[in-house]
Amino acid sequence: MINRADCERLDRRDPLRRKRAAFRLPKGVIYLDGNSLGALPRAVPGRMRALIEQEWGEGLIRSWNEAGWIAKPAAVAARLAPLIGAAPDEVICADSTSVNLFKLLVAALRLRPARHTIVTELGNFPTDLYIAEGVRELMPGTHLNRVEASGLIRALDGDSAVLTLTHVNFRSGRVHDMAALTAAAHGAGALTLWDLSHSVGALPVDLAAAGADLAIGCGYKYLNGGPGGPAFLYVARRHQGAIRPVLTGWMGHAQPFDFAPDYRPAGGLTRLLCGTPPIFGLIALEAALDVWDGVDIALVRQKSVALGDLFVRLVEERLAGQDFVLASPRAGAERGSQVSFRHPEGYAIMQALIARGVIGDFRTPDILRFGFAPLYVRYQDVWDAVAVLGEVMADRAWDAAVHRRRAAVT
Amino acid sequence: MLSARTSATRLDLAALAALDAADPLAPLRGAFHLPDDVVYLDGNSLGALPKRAEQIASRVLRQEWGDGLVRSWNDAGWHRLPWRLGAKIARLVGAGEDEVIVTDSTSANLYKVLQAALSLRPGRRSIVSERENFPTDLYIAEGAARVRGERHRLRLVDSPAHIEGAIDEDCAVLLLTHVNYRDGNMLDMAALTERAHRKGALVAWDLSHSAGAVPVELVACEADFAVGCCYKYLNGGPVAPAFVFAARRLQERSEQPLSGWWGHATPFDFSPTFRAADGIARFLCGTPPVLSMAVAEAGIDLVLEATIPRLRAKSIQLTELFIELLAQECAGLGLEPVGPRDPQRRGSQVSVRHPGGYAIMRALIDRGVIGDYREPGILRFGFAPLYSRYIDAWNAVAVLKDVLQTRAWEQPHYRERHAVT
Repeated sequence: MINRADCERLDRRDPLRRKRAAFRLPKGVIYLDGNSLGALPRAVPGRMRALIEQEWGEGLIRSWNEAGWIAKPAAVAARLAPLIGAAPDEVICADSTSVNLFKLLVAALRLRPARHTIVTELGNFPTDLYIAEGVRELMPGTHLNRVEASGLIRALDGDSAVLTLTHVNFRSGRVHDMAALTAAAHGAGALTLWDLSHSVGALPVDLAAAGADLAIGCGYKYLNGGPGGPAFLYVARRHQGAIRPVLTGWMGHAQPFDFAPDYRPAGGLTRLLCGTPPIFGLIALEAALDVWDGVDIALVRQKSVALGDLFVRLVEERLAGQDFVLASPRAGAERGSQVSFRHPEGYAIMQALIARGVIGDFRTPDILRFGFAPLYVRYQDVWDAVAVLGEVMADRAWDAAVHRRRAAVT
Repeated sequence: MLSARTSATRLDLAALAALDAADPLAPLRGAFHLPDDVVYLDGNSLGALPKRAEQIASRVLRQEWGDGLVRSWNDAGWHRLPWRLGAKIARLVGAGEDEVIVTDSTSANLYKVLQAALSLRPGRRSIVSERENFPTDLYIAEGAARVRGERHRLRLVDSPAHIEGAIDEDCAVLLLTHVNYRDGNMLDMAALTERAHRKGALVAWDLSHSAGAVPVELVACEADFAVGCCYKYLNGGPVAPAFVFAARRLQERSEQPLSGWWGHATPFDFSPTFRAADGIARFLCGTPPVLSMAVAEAGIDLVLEATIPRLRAKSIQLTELFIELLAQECAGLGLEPVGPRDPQRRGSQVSVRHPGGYAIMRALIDRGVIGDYREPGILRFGFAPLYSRYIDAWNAVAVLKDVLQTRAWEQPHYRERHAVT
């Protein structure tokens, strides 16, 4: 049996151990929810202070040119491009994940004008499904085919315009085989649009090698860009010239400061910008991305799998017979950087854990979700989290009215 | 061309300083951080920094994000920010507090309301607007029409006088910016809304150059939809999310295609099918940008403290004096007035045209007088009555006069174009 000293030994040998110091983490908290909201990189508050005091306060409007604000959507995206196997000019930061999905779903349908079906997974993240519904309602004749993961390849046919999937499932953490599904979609003549929200910064993603066409992703989970920060979108270079934007805002115009009445799309990915870029969020994300300097994503993945495996093993060893059922793939290779367990009292148990400083989250109907952000989660955190879970179960701490009360955001 | 001022009383710096001394809003300038040696007349493009914004940012970063982490969605009230800010802005634009919400950009919000309006008028196929409308409004409208098929289109009129005539039985929605970004011309919201309704069309108002500067009465005017910017006269910072208004009577029937999870009736049920939230929340889309939203509240609060009637009174006096000063000091120097002379028809800005406009503005900025330049040849001076002073008008005109008289603007480097003007 493994013990806490073994976990501490693993931490001492961890090649990423020094990265934890780049984050501000509260005392008395074990944070296993970096898959929902990444922790605060220490560099961010100082950078934001400079943004506010110097660039906004002193520079005022001049900062669009002098502080390079206008170039931030492309510049920040170029920093994260290596994490997803993209060239710097294939990614741009803008808007939210949902808005970017809307832009790219419409663009995909326009790239395949003879086809009318969006294919996706029933268990996809809800906002992806909702946005696809919005596109279906907007564009006459569009169909939305939502199928179980096992039926995705069978669902692809001559009317499929785009296969849109979240690479790592938000509930189970299951990783789709991006290369195989992309090949299948291409075989059927469809494009692929990958949501990388639960992948980027957690495991190696190679969009180019997989031949992916389009992608979107979140900047505030494993990238630690701050709550509700800007998202990114990817378009393979081969498609960029043919993209016809739907959210034709002025920042996507070829010459926005000509103030011409007619829309003319900018070259490259700039055409997929819409409104004025959210400088606050972009600067926070840019500062947060400094953490990735010199980080080998293969080491991140190795540690992520090891943390997840350790957690599964400890829960099953130490909480045997307590009704926890693994809801994630057991094989680390098939799992993102999270582990989910089902339990009939999942919601109350998670609230009791949070009250004791172990922060994971709950997803309906009965899933306790634990995310392991390898840059700041330690092996000893995994040990301690399972120990607290053991206490919560042993003394039935979860069985209290206060832990059953549903909060607005779970 | 500007004609020499003929009035008996000549304006001078002392007279303007006296106005500042008597200004009831003068103490609020102290709530802003403004750089030394700068006359800032571009608050209509990017509002100045409220001092409290720095404290809010520090708290949100260190305590709420750093220490609170994901718990802060509930514990620090992050999830309520779109509503809380919306309710405050509602008070500034004559709307019910459940009719405004803060989210996304002005452009994205405009897309939502245009699609909602087109869906509410299924038999009609055009969006009508002004050629002089702010370009992003036109681009977005073009995109909104095109996605619905060949027969939908954007129709543009060449002057405000032609708006009414263009509202016909095919017009689903009339899209207008209340205060024009170039010349400051303010449209008659009540009259134009009434004309549109009489023809069965809906109206969407862009309040980007109005909110926080001029009185707006959306409910009294029976406006249908509106959008607006939070980083101009509301001082929300670069780049605060925008706001969107939908009249209560239309909310339950409004459908918009950017149907992200935050616009769902019960987002944390994670249901696979979309069901729009009740009320204005259905105009939300993705996760709210917490940092920029929290910071934006500081500026909005200052506008509420000043109150719109006091801001409007000062704005009119500032712009009137600026126009008089231009006539008094810069007559014969080649400036041509642009926009309405009647202050009741003007927003909180003054524009003048000059063939060397771009280079002149660069020379002004070089001398600490910050306005901006808009094609073709237009120098734009915005007066943000929360922090602009009467002596700022004097100082700006003095520098402008000097730049024109000495022809300092003709130096070649002032002609080099920057990415952003």
